[in-house]
Parts: sequence; C-alpha cells; structure tokens
Amino acid sequence: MVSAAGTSRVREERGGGPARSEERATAQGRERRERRGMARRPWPGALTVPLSLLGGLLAWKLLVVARDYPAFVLPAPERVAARFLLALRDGTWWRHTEATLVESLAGFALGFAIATVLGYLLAKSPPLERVVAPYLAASQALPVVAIAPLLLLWFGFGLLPKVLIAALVVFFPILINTVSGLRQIDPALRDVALVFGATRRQLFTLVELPLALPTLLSGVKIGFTLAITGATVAEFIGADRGLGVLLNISNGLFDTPLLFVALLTLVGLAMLAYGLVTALERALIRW
Amino acid sequence: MQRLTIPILTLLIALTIAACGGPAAPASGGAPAGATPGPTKVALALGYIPDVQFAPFYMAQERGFYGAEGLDVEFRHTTSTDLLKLIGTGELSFGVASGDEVLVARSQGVPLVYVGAWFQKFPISVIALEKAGIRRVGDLKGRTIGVPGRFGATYVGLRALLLSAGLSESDVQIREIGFKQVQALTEGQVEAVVGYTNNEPVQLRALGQAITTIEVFDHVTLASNGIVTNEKTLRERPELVEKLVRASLRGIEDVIARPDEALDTVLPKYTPEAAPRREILRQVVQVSLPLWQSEQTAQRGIGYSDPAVWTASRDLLRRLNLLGGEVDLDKVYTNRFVSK
Repeated sequence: MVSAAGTSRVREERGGGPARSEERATAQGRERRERRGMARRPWPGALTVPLSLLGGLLAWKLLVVARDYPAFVLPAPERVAARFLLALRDGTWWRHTEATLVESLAGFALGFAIATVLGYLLAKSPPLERVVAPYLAASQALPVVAIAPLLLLWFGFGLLPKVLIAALVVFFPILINTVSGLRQIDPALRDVALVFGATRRQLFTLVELPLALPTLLSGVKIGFTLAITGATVAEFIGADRGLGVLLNISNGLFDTPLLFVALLTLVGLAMLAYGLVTALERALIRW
Repeated sequence: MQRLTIPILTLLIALTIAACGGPAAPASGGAPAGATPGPTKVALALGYIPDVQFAPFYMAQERGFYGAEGLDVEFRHTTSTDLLKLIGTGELSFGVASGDEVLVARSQGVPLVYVGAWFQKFPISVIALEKAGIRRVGDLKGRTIGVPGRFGATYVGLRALLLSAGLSESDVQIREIGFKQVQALTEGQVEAVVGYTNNEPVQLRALGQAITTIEVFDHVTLASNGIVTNEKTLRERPELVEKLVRASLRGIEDVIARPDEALDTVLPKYTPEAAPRREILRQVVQVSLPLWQSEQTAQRGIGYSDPAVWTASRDLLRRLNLLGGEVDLDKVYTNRFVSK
C-alpha cells in the first residue's frame, strides 16, 4: 500500500504526460528530460513570479478598498508592511522567526535522517515493509494538532517536542518518496552493474542514489515546507517563541496586521525553502 | 512544476484572503428581519466548548426565560477571541466574553459593547503545590510559572498580579504550557500555574493535591465575563439586546438560587460526556457562585457594571501595554439593560 501511494505521488510530482509514461526510467531518458526542462525554465520564472506577486498585492488592496474592511477584519497591505517594520525594529519578528526556523530545520533533519534510512531498508526488504506498513499508515491517521499536546506533556516544554512534531510531519512524505524512488529503478540496471562487478557500495552511490535522487528531492521539497507547518502547530499549542506563538499573541491582541505579518512570514519561509530545494535539485541533477 | 508553483501559491493566498473576507460582507446582524409572529432567532456565542460553566445561559434556555421574551436562542461554541471578532463584523450579534478582551478589541477598532456583567470578580488564580511555599504575590519572584500562552485572561491576570506587587515578567520565568496546567503542576514541570479560579484549583484538590492559591481579584481590579454585542445591534435593535440580557441575567439568578438543580438539568443535556465527573462539576458551580456576586450586585442587581472597575481595567491594560489605541469607556459598556 505504501508503494502504491508512493508511485501515484511520483507521477503527480513529475507531471509525466502520456508522451513520457511509455518510456521507462532509463538514465539516458531522464537526463534528456532534465536538460529540456532546464532550458525552458529561466525566462518565464523570472517574469511570472514578480508579476504574480504584484497582482496578488493589487488584488488584496483593491479588495480592502472596494469593501471598506476595518483593519481588524482585513488590513490593507501597507498597514501590514508598517506593522512588519515595527516588529522588525523592536525585535519581535526575528525573535519568533528564528525559533520557527531552528525548530523546523532540526525537525526536518531528524525526520529526513530517519525516513531515508528506513525508506532504504523498506525498499530493499518487502517483508519488512509488510511488517511496518500498518504502523506507517496508522501514524498518518493521527492529526498533529491532537498529538502535539501529548508530546508537549511527555517531552516537556522545551525545544525537543517541537522538533519531534516537525520531524513527524516530515517523515512520511520523505519515506514514501525514498521507497518509490528506489523501487522504480529498472532492475536490469542493477543487474548490469552487478555483472560488471560493482560492490554494494558502488551499486548504491553509482546507480541507486543518482537514479532515486529526483524522486527523493521531490519528497524533500514537500517535507521542508511541511516541517515549518509542523513547528508552527507545535508552537501554537505551547511555546514561548515562534511564529505559532506570534499568531496566538496577535490574535489575542486583536492585532490583525501583526497576524498577517506572521502568516506572510510563514508563506515566505515556505517559498524560500521550496526555492532552495529546487536550486539544489538543479545543481545535483545536472551531471 | 516550479514554473507553476509560485503563481498558484499567490493565487491561493489571494483566494484565501478573499474567502476570509467573504462572510464579513455587508453586516447582516445575527437575527433575521421580518415581523413574523414567531420567536426571534438569535445566536449567542460562548467562548469555549459546551461546559457546565455556561450553566446560567443553558438554564435561561431550559427554564424558558428566553422563550418568554420571544427569543429562540441558539448557542454557538467557539473561542472568545473569535467570537468577539465575529460580533465585531456583525456576523454574530451576541456573545459572552471577558471585559479585558473587550477593551483590547475596542482599542483595535472592534465595535463591541459590553451590555451585562456576569462575573463580578476576575476569575483567575495562581496555583501552586503547598510544598512550594507560594502564599503571597511576592513569593512568585524567581519562580517558574506556567500559563496557557501569552494571551487571554490567564496571561493578563498574571501580569496584572505581578504588577500589583511591583514585579514584572522578567522577575519570573513564564512557561507556555497550553491548557495543561494540572499536569504541568503535578508533574513538577513548573512551580506555579495560572488557571481559572473555578476550575484548576477544584481539579487539583479532587486529585488529592494540597495546593495554595493567590486570587487575582484580591489584588487587582479587572472587568470580567459578561454579555457583549456590537454597536450596530445596540443602535438598531435595542429591544432585542434588552430581552437577551434580561433573560440571561434571570439564568444567572436561577443558578445562584438552585445550583444543584441547574447541574441536573445542564449535565445530561449539554455535557453528557462530563456526567462521570458530576461531583467535581458540582464544586465548580459552587465555587463560581460567589464570583458572580458582589456588594454592588446586592444593591443594583445582577449584571451591573461598576464604572470604577472599567476605569481601573483600562488603566491597568494600558500600563501593561496591551491597548492598541485609545478607548472611550462610554462606548465600551452600558448599564441601561440592568434593572433595579
């Protein structure tokens, strides 16, 4: 069940159209595809992003003006910007952003480490997968908001429970992508490598890792942004710093502009994380 | 993938914003127009999940006080911050919330009016295990104190209490522990917790813990829970406000007069899940009753708002730096719906 879900996600992620689906993932085909994709990337990306952001801001401003919303309902963008500058100057913004960054990075690292190791083992051993699969499925049935208070209770109110919650959220998508990334490798390639006398380590570094990397990185992309959400949820339940705390504080103060500052910071962090992984993806898959 | 993601993200954000603004559209008020002879439908928002603490409002319903005023009241349970915002936009007409929150919201331009006091004493306590030796506010210095978060009545109450003894937040260690005060205290994760006078102390004693409490209302004056509406409803439908307040205050009086009966009525119908905890809840109600009354209410009736309390509350919140802008107290509360 794990691998089935994984494969369908891989297809979505890749956006593999009918023209592509018939080609099995041979190393050559993939390389060609990557190059083609990269050649097309630069100009639309450079133009659409600022334009769409500008459009979004404009639509936001228009909405406020047209419907005459009071600031506590929907503050105008310039009010949010002014509030942001104030929070930046008095140190509020960085104090909370820093905490969320630390928690989500640590949570991501932990979740990533466990998920890739376990993912490798599961991909190699179908019997192990059959044993573990029900627990994996079960872990996904638990809403994070529901177990976060329990983790806080068990692990105290420091950094650890927040990191654990972020790791928990990150874990599953990376695991799934690791497993499916390894599973989709053409067994023939592995056989060829073995016939030519590749060692286990060579098999891993020269065949399995490079071929599974694109899928793995898709998982990282999702996982990285999820880590931020996980950390925020944990902070929401009980923390003294972090963007989740800032959300709570601004809500309690009816300071909607500050609430927007926190929300937009979360959006910015997610976009930044996504962009970084995308850049990493390009750098790694260029060879 | 990457080419599409950012425009899509932006679009999603724009849509989300639009959707958030949506329901707040032209303020329609909670009650429908039309002079049909049937009862007037009105929603009353309560700032927590269904809980025995709301017994006065449930009893006003069950005893037909609302019905006698021609009202068909429907309870909505949400958080108190959210309900105040919804009342502010006109999405809801009535709710129950704390006076300090109303002041903070007013300072941010939320057009709320407090039309009937329910609690006369700010129901927040600092609770410690007896062995910690925390008996006076001054004993809190240097201690680790757990609060649900840096928001809401517990946080405001703690800061006000510290201020009353010349202490500030930096003289203590504040830990955000969510609503896990009982566990955090018994597990020894903090030395004191801030909770509701009529809840956590009762729960802790029921667990057999020897505790000491410091009552915020013994040291500071803060306006507490009451019935809140918005300026529009007050201006356009004062008779509706009058009816809702009158019937709700009768509910408070009824619970004061017959607390056990109230429990028997409320428990099975509104909080059946809590039935096994009947004895604790009975104590919760018993502890609550004196918080709803004062010398003022003995003279002027249940629901009375003491102007001195509001002035003191505003000044205190300003000193705590919680007010966003100016607050005109004449617009914040009124006693015109309180009889006697």
